[in-house]
Amino acid sequence: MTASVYARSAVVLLSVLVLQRGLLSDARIAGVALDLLLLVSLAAGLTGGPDRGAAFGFAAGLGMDLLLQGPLGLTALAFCLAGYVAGRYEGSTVRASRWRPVITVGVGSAATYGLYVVLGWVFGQRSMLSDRLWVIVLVVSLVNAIISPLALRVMRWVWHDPVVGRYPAIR
Amino acid sequence: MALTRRTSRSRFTLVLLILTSITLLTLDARNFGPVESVRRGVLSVLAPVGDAFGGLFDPVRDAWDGATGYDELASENDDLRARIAELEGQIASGQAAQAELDQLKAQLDLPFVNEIPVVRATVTSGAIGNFDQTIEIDKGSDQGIREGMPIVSGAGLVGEVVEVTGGRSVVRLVSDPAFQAGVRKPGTDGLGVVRGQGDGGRLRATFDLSAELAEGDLLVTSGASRSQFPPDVPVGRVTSVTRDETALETRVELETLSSLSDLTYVTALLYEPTA
Repeated sequence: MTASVYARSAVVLLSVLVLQRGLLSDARIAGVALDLLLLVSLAAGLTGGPDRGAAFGFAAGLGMDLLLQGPLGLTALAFCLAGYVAGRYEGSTVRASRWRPVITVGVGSAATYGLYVVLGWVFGQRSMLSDRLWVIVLVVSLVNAIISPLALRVMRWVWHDPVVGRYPAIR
Repeated sequence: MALTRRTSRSRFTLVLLILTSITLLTLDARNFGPVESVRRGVLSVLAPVGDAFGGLFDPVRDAWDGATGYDELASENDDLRARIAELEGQIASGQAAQAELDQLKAQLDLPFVNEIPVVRATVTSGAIGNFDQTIEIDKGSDQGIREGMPIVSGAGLVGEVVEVTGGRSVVRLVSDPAFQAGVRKPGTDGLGVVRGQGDGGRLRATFDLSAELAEGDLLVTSGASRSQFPPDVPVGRVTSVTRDETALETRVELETLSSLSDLTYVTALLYEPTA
């Protein structure tokens, strides 16, 4: 990865963190906060592959952990796995489809929240398994799926490498 | 060949990141000092940036609230008008009761909320995640706030301070499952413990079997010795009571008096627990 890729990753990550803290903590749907950091982690995996997905997911999750009062590293672990699996899945598919990334983000968001709750349970955060969990999963998955085309475009811009773009064989 | 190398490199990256996460989780669980310092650093750096951008987002937030909560606002407005009328009627009788109460307080020489130094604060951010039961306020250690101090609204207990920087504090709401406080029914001695349920304003308290509680009862902080909360701060109203003969305890469900989801102003009580 080039320095410009790192710089663009940092800009996107910081912007999403500020947006998550400044706007999305208050603008809720049915009491559920949208999870842009999870969205960009999945989009990072889908557009950049498992390596970049895991690294970006880890950084995004760690940023979220630093804003929360929960165990540090829990979100980083969940989002890192989400980015990795999204990248693996995208790499394993042969036929391209316009809807597949959208559905992948929706299903991936639900699966990541499921994993997050299980990990939370393991690390003593038992209250995550509440009656409202299905509402949270439903809202986050749906909204992430709807706005995923925008996130995918942003992450493609992040990974865009003019040299590799011109000579794909050197990737 | 190249594909195999790339796959093993991705796996190596993944394992490395998983191990890093687990190391962080372990360090955090052991209250490793530098982890807390990093958290405080991020709070003090990101809070002003977030506020600046938060100001930019205000019109978007207002439009969003207007679009999603018009019916709720109209109904809340009607409720508030009715409540004002009711309160105006209560003020007259309340003044006489207050005078009597002040005399009793003076005689018993107990610490009370209205004698404790307070700091008024504005809520700058709600819970950031979906499993997070915290709010951020615009006052911190520069104003005398310290970790563990109680935060109240006009209606009663809101939470406790869990992290403080110079001009910022993070408050754990009473709804957080990690929150607990000693409670009692006013005028009785039976003590119970209230805990958050991680779900809106629902709380749960446990008392021993002899506790005489009924639906609608108000529970207040017990203010027991070394409790971080002063006595008689309203916590919530009982919605159901279940007596468990096997566990020898009375389980009480209660609802907080203030809505925790739309707090704007709160008050920090600069309360020092009695030894």
